[in-house]
Amino acid sequence: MATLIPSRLAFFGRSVPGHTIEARWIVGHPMESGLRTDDDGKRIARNMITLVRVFVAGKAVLELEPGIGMAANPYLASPVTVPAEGGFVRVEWVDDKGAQGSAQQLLLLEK
Amino acid sequence: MDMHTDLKRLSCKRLMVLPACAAMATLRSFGAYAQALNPRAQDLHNLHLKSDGIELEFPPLAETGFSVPLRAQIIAPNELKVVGIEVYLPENPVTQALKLRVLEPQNRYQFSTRLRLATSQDVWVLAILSDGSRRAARAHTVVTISACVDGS
Repeated sequence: MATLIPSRLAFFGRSVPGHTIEARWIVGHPMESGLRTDDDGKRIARNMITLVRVFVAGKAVLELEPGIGMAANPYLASPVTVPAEGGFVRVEWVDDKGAQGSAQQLLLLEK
Repeated sequence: MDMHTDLKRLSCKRLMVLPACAAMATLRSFGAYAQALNPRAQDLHNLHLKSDGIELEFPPLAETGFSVPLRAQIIAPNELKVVGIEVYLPENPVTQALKLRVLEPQNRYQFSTRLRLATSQDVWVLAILSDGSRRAARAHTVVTISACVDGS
């Protein structure tokens, strides 16, 4: 049974069309580098997120390739320009074991 | 003349074995490729890149290297835009910590993340601008407990 990996997305800033807000994304992923060993001296298998994509209203705006220098439970805050009609911000990720996930949040426009 | 060149010539002259020469050339090009992917502090210094327009917030002292927050703001000069960002940790086993491709280039780009540090070192942030030029800035931190601890 696949383990559920929690992922959250939140916004910071005024959600006014044309303005830039900050999208903050975090995922509960171990980001195991493959370089560590356990108590028995056995190497812990590598398990890293290899690609993250950020979409705003269905359009890709950012691609992230994390390396092993990215901390466990990866966090990324990046700017997002609020589209005129609003829409969903979606973050998708995939790791090198084939697991994938996403977080999605609706951008509610301020009047 | 270095040992690699000597070996290469020996292989070519005495044995006349073309595959051996090809293998050496492949190994050398792989070395250059690996170095390009995994640059060390001196390689980054040798790029002699300007740091104008890049501001980094990185703690000067980190209690552990497991999760060190980084905040970077890049303001591209003139009409240029930021199209990519690379973060390097030259003292880590794999130096490239992350790579960002900005698909909607912006004049001002600010991002935050958390890094895993093997030891006290500089963090390097390289910004790639829309004209292909690069800027780089670095900030130092002292780590009291490394993130490269086995069995933890």
